[in-house]
Amino acid sequence: MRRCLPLALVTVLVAGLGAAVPSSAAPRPRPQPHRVADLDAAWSTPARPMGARALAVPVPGDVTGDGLADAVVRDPGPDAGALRVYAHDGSAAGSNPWPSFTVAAGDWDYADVLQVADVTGDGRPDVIARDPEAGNGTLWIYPNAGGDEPWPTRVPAGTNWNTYDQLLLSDVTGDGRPDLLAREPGAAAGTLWIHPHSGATTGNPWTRPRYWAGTGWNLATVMTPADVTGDGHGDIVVRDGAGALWVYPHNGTTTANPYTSRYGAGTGWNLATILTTADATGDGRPDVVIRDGSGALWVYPHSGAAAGTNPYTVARYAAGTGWDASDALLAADVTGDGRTDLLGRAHAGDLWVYPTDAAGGAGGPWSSRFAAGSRWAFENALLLGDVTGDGRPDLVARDRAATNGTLWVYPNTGATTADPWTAPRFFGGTGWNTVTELALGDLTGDGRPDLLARDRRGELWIYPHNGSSGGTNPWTAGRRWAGSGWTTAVTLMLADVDGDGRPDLVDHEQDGTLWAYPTSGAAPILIGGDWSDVDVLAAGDVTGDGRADLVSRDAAGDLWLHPHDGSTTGDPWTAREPAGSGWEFASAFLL
Amino acid sequence: MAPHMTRRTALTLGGALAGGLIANPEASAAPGPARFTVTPGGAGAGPHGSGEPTAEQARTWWTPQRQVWTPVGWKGHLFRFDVFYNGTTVCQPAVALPPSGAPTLKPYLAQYRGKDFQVTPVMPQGGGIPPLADEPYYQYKADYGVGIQGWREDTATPVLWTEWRRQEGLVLRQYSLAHVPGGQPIDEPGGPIYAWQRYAVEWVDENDRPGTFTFALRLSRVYLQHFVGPPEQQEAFVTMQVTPSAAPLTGSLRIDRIWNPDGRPLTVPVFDETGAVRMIVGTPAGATVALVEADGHPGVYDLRLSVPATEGTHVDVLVPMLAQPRAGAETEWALGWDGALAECEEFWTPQPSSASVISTGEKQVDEFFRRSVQLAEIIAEKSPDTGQFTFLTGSFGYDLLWSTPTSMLSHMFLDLLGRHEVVDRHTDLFRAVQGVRQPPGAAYRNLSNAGFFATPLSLQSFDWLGDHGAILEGAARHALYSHDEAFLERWLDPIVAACDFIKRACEYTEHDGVKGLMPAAASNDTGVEQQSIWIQVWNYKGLASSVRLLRRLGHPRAGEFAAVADRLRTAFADALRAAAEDAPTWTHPDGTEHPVLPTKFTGPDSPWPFLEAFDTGALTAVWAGLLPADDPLMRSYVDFFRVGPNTRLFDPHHHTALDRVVLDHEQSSGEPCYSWNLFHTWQLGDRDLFLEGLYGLISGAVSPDTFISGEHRNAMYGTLFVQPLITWAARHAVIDDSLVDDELHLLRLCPLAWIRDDHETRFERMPTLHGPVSLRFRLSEDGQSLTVAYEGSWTERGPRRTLLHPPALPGLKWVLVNRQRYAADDVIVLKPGR
Repeated sequence: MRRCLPLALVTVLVAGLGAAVPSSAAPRPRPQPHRVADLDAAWSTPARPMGARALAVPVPGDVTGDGLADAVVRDPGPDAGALRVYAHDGSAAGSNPWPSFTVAAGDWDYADVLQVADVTGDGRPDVIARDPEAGNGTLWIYPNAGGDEPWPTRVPAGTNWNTYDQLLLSDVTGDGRPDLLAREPGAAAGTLWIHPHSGATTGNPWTRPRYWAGTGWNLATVMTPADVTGDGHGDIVVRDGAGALWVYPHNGTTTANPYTSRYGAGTGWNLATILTTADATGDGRPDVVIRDGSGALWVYPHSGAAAGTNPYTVARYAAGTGWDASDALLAADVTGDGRTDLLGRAHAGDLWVYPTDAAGGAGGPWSSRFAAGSRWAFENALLLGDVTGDGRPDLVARDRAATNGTLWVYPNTGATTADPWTAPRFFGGTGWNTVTELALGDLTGDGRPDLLARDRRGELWIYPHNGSSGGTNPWTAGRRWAGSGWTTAVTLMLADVDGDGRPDLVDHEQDGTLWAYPTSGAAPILIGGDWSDVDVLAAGDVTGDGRADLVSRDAAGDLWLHPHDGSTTGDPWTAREPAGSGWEFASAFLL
Repeated sequence: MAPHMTRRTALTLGGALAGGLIANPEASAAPGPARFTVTPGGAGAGPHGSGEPTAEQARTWWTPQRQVWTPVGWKGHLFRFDVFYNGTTVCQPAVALPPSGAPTLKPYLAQYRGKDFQVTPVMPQGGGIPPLADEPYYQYKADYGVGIQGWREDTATPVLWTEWRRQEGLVLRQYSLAHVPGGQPIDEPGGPIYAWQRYAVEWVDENDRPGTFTFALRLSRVYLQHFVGPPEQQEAFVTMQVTPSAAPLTGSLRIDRIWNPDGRPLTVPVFDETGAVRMIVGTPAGATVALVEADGHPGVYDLRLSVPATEGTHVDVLVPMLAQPRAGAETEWALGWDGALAECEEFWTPQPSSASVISTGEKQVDEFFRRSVQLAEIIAEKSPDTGQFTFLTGSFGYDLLWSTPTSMLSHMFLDLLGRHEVVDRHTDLFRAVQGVRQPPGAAYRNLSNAGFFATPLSLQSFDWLGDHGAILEGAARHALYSHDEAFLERWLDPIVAACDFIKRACEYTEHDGVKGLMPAAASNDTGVEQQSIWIQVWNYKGLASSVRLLRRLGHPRAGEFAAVADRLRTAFADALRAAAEDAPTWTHPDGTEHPVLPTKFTGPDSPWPFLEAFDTGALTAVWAGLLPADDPLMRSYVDFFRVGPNTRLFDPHHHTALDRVVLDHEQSSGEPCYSWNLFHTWQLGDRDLFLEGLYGLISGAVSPDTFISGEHRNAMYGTLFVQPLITWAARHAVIDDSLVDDELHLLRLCPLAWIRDDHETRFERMPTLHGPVSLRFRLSEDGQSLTVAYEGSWTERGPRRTLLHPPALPGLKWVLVNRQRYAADDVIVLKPGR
């Protein structure tokens, strides 16, 4: 079913829904099944040994300042993971051509690469998505079946595509079929390879030998295909790290590297959090379409300039606001009317703070809440930690759509009954999409939260905090290796399990086991019990004894509190108690 | 050499003149097989300005050998690790290249099929670890097939090193040694054996180096495979092919999850899917380790390692040949590199009292002998079925037994170096097979197989009739050199029975071949029945050596068999001359016509005619004693390979073992171990060509880095094919008991590079027909006198005459032999008893 709602109305509805839920009400059911529910926990090193900890130092996750780790919970909101189709309404240049959308069912939330092209050769755009977690990068083709639900099924198009960090679709061989352009970041500063389309209309069409298309492509923070020069060949538009835009015109070669020159297309393009090309003006030329930091969309019309001359010199015009609900924008003629439609992968997200009531009754310790905004379109990485060093938990979020994963730090204002993360955010680096798990904790012993990241090969890396106190990226120091073999971990958290004042690694495995890996180098501790139906885990001092308690959510949506029993060499979470029910909606649960 | 001018005269006239005499007159006609020429400038070139070659110089005669692999192992163990030039380590517990699927082939190894394992060091490229290819390719095309490799010189243990010189600013070196738990001689042949490997940061550029260096060990099944195909240019017939489809392991590998935020040193076991230990890795502080499945190749794993770029930093790796139970592997790991090496030193250091010592002052030569002797017992096994030892023809490829060429390890290599116990132990298996197998020829079905020697079926690759003579030669020569009564007690009857077999065969006339010779049979790997020269020479050689032995023993049948040998020799010479009459001819550059001698007296054309022509052809007759080297047929035929028409077709850079063979630096361009021309130049006293052949073999036919031999240059390494020829030549150059019966000739062809004033050259306890001989010599600082210490430990009366050939050194006036002074201007006949 495709629902058609004016964009402005939807925005209001999302906000309204959040406001309409009474703060004391039990969490509402999730609007649709959600594929991934990651939890992240932040835990700072107490300054003193365990026995002297108590409440003398700020408790990580303690939003309300009462010494207890409060729960920070995200409700992903409607349409999450679905594609919103913004059909071009025929507006001429100067007017927003994409004022409303329909929702195409599906859940592409998992995809770290999402593209649209007519792969099957039937004249209709198909969706191509990469699942980075399966088969070292499984590529899926969703053939366009037409109608209201155009992409109901999918077929695999090979595995091991994680070798590449950029996948583009463009006809570079001149056969009218989309070839796959792939950037291998680890080879010669970014080698571009072309996987020619084989002509197959079913199955994986990119099985023919790849060929080389130059090196040094790592300079690109954005790569998008477009026929800028109008010669019928697919050019590439690139934004470099300095914000300059470049056009790499296709040189006409269809069997070897077609990108052997470039020319400039202006500077200052770093204002865009998303940059793509689409024919907004209907003149058959690719315009540049960007989303800025406020969520507004802008069209930079193609001037018609010939190859070699910057075509994006014409004044831009607005194309609506509220686009921050999307974390990916694609351009294709989905409606078949010859005009370019936009597709946005929907993300909304309400955040709630549930102050911890350690003596909470039957409803558990989290029976009331207050809102912390509805702007949290960062589906798979929300972290809590005192990044700025002011003793208050800041929120760290990854915007997957921006520059291959941008981290933002939202400083805590100190508000204890309302959204505390309203201060201007600051930048925490880019490229974080290359990691599959993030955690915050002081692993270097300087009292500041370092980032612990798992890459796609299952290796752990520490990005040490540089000591800055806000406003600038705190994780600029060189990373440090911290381990390997973690591909089977569902959840990784940092918490001081053994009470030595250093955060240990808590590992929830795919096989349902739970482990604590002491940072001291002691043998891993197997946590008793069956954790296989647990889909949410968080650690923090809920009981106020200065030790890390564990919170889990089972398949029924019930929360359980596992108080730390004081054990420093064995399983400290041997008992559990109920901590509320109806939490199945939450796509993130932080302590 | 100019007529009427002795070598000594020529040399004393001056290097330049000598050089001109030595130089190949055809050398300027390029391209073609190479001949050594003296460096222009004459005086000052070569040792003592003689213009003679040295080992170091000979290394420059060819381009580096490609795709060398060298085994690292334990004496007599069933398994060996094969380390390639690029550090790739192959664990192949089964037969690597079975010639057939016959169930009789090493049945005790059947249980190990599919359990092979390969560890491939992969260096970074373009900022990442390059992936395993998708399509097969010849290994050498990726890296020219050459690396930087050698043995550690400071250990008795054979510790192989392989080096990577990285432009990041450091040198990474892999060290490899093999160890068995306990460090004792083999008891259980198929028991655990481990490769200890150390990857050490050997050197760093103090100004421009990385903080850390990352590389990977790619873990897979053995995907370096022998590609045996139609010969192509440059492919040397057998080429190592990277075969990605063979790489995936049948099960998965894993490591325990590692949490190491403090960068502590780690011990990381790699487990297979059964929980057994496939490998253990020990990392230093600050290192990283991760096991990831290789991109695009399920079942292939990259163990990614990153080490601080600090000199001395190392990663230790323990690789069992077969995955081991955790307890066993951890016990071995607990030894540590130093502990394992210490046990190895205790194992490898002791030498038998009869062991010879060779010290020439040329490091390459001395190390060649030191490591070759060890390799002989590594490329060998103790059978788990019979408990008996056997040499193997090769490691990773020829890990079976071609008895004919492998017999040379005994009679031309180890026995000449006093390793009699080793030879005895690795020869005994043949007694049990005598008279059991049927000779591989139709004519022999009419004869009793009593006394017939053959390769045990479980070890046999191809059945050659020459094996009988080769095994007999090995036994008879061992008895002649070792003077071992206990051996004779076991072997005298089998030797006599073997002679009887040859007698019966030669006297059998109901066949189509030449009467009086051994009838036709399978003669080589073609399997074709033929009355080949190859069959005759080996059986004659074995018979002749047996006759010598029986005469020494006063055996009653010595004369009978001597008559058989005489008749065989006569029949052979007659048949060869008759064949020469009808043979096609070739035209010598001097305009004379000469026959192209056949390789067989009867039999079909060979699919490998050129290889047969040289390797197993008429040139062998001189070595066997069937014809003298100065026989016109022999003189012309050896020239055929030096200057004949094939030389015009020889491409020095691109040739295979099956191409037309020529002599390239007096080395067979086909299979160098069959450079029979060396016996011609030895016998003729053609010093220049003899030394060119000797040095050519030691630098061009074995790896000058690891001394492992190839079957042909650039292919099929892991063998000791060439060691016998080199050893025989080196020993006879200095101590010669073969030139004239009952005479010893000392220093007759000794390289001048071994006569030095800064080093006393030693050939000690060198077994001869008369007993062990020790010879030590050193030149005085003024070059006028040579001091020689000579000692024979005769078993009976000693040689009838001993002659010392003063080296052709300008200025040499005296030779002091055991303090007795002789003028150095002519051959010295030592006084009896000296």
